[in-house]
Amino acid sequence: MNKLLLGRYLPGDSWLHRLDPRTKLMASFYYIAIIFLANNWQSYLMMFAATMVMIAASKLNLGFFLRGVRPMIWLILFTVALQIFFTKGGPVYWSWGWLAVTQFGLTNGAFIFLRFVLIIFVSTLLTLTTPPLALADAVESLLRPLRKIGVPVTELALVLQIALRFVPTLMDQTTKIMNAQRARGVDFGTGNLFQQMKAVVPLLIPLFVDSFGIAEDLATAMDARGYQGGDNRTKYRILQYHPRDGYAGLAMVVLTVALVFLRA
Amino acid sequence: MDITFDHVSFTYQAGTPFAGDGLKDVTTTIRDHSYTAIIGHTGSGKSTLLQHLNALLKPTQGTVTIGDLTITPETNNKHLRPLRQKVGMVFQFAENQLFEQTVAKDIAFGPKNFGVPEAEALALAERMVQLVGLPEEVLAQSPFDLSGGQMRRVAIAGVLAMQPEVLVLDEPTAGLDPAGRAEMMTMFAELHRTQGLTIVLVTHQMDDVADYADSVLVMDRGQLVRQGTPREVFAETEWLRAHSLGLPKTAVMAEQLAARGFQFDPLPLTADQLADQLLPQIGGAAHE
Amino acid sequence: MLPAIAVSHLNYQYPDAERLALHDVSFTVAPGEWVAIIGHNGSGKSTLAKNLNGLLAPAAGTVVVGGLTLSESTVWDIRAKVGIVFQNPDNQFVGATVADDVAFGLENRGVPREEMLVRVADALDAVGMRDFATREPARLSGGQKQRVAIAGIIAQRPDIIILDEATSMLDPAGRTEIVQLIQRLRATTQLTVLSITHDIDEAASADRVILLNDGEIRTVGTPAEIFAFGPELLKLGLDVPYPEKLKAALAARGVAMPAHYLDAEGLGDYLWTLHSTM
Repeated sequence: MNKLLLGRYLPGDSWLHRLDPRTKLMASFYYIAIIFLANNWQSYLMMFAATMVMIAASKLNLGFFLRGVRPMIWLILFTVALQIFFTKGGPVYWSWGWLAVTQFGLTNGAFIFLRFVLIIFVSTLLTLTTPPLALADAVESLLRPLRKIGVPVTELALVLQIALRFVPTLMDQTTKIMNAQRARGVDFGTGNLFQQMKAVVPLLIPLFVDSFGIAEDLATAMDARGYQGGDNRTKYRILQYHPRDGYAGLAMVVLTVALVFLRA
Repeated sequence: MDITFDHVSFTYQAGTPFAGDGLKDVTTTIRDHSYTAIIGHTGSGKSTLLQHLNALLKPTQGTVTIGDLTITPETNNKHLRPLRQKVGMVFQFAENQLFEQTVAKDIAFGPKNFGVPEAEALALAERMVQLVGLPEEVLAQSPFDLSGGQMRRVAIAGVLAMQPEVLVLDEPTAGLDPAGRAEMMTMFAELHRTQGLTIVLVTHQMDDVADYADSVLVMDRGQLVRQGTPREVFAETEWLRAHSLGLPKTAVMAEQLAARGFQFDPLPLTADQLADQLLPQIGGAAHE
Repeated sequence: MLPAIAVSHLNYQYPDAERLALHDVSFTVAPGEWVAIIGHNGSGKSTLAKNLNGLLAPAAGTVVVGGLTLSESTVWDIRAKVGIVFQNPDNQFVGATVADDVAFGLENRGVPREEMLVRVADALDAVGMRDFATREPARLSGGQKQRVAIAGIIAQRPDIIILDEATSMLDPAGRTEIVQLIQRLRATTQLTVLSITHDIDEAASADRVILLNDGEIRTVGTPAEIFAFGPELLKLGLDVPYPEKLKAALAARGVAMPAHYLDAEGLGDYLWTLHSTM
């Protein structure tokens, strides 16, 4: 379970940690979008430098970010290989039948690689510096206008919040049931595909049964505490923009302008 | 089959919620046919210790010897299966592990994993259901239609069906009512007596330790801080209090009576022992 | 004075069940009183708790809480007056952090945020969990989780708190923690406490004990009156307090023992008298 980096929050008090989650969420999406504007060495280099500055501002170890790339590495290499072998143009360095490595291919491959890495770095940065709960708040707050067209935003946010809250509980339960079944002679993660699938049944069924039990208990507890849904609820946790959120926005504008000038 | 811990340390990977709940230099032997109780606070390393008894965890340092098998930090996971059959584990809230369509199939699940043919495993299930005191009708029922207490018994039957030599019980009576608790503890004592099972019991109930165990291990912050017979361990009343570990109710009562001038030697641990020692001091039955 | 809870001739039957889970249950609880309801698993204790605030709808009979008769139109007002702490500390935690969870009930009732901040902080102070306000539930012990659950209830300022086997999944330290907390809260507030339990020590802290057996009230009395039942408690699937066990062991050895309940102190006195007159 330790390998799971996605959605893992590392507490800290850096400037980035303190940004409003809405700012971070919007800026991350925006940043990922403008990465696609980069199209030459200069523009990619600038985006790379900007990403490094942000990582430095988070005061987090670069190793965490590199580890975020690892689970994606095969997908990345596959895409890069496609680019290298199938992009035609410029001097040909190597060819075999319909496959050819050209200068354009190599450059495009490098750009694609960089784009992947930057996107992974930025999304990792978002989840490492923002507690999941704050992200859920941000999503709710940003989606709130959709309430006007009948989307149950508050309910969805509560669902998301409860789901986040039960992740550790269910992980714990999974470990316990796995241990119990291992003690009864089940080998998880060995044997052929069929055997492995068979081994999952004694884990999944108890986990489902347990989850239904939790859901029922939780529904009862919520009922008892006066939960009736609807929009008459007040909120304990509220989000507030600060001047630093303005600076972050401004930085995005500056970056965009620079990018437009640098791209070919 | 003895289980021996030789300078066993275990560290969880840093960053997990369990960090700190490891083991530090534990050396002890759990003797064949003994009834050993493990006590200590939540987070004292009791569950980590338990998981070493059937190699669900392997030591980071030191060795665990289970029967003729020695587990070192380097031991390959592939050779551990025969061991799991010899050391049966009943985890806390064991009813959570049930999953089959019928009680019979669920009980037969363990033995089948260890290579017992289906028909034989189902025959075992029939015997085990009786052994844990459930009516035969439940065999064909879904485990999920039973009461919580019955489900726990089915889970225990499922572990017993593996015919282990050592039965490890992690707070087996948690959540049961007093009658259910008493029945279950009597059942384990019977198994210990009639089947010669070695029993390792993790519990917070000091009365159960006093009533059933012949050996006690006390864990504190990953270390084995005391070991001995219940009488030896419970004699250190001050030390136990300082570690807020609690005492059997009899020991507390005996202490109060001693403060008035009664005398006890050795320290009584059960109501019967206390009554026996009180009898001559209050003039016995002839008092009227 | 109006009783905090008045239940009369309450029946309840689960759908598909053959017999009544509760049969003709009547009792009253005075404001500020601590009443323990004891009985073996399946005796109807938790069913009773859920009938008191409309989580289950009675088949017959009436439930009156603080003068309000339980009905569809009063159910939410009654839930505001009655807080329940449930058995499993994990499964009642709604909020992702301690403070959020305490605030949940207040959010449901539309309490303005400024007031919420004060009430959440006060409630966490009252249960001694203020330092844990931003912690996640997964990082707390069972006892701490139940303390947070209690904070969530007292933040709503209810008249009645029901502990529905709230200590049964805790270790002895956690159990003591909760019982002491309730005793402390009772010393400073007018809280009425209804504790559903089979822990004999928890029942001993109550003013009165209702003994439930197979869905019916077997008897009602002070803890001493109930504990004097001795061996019959064992037959009903319950435990007896330790002095009763020792009494039984001595009686079996032919020593004359008084019939009424003695606590450890009382039993010590009695034995010492025997010793002195030897």
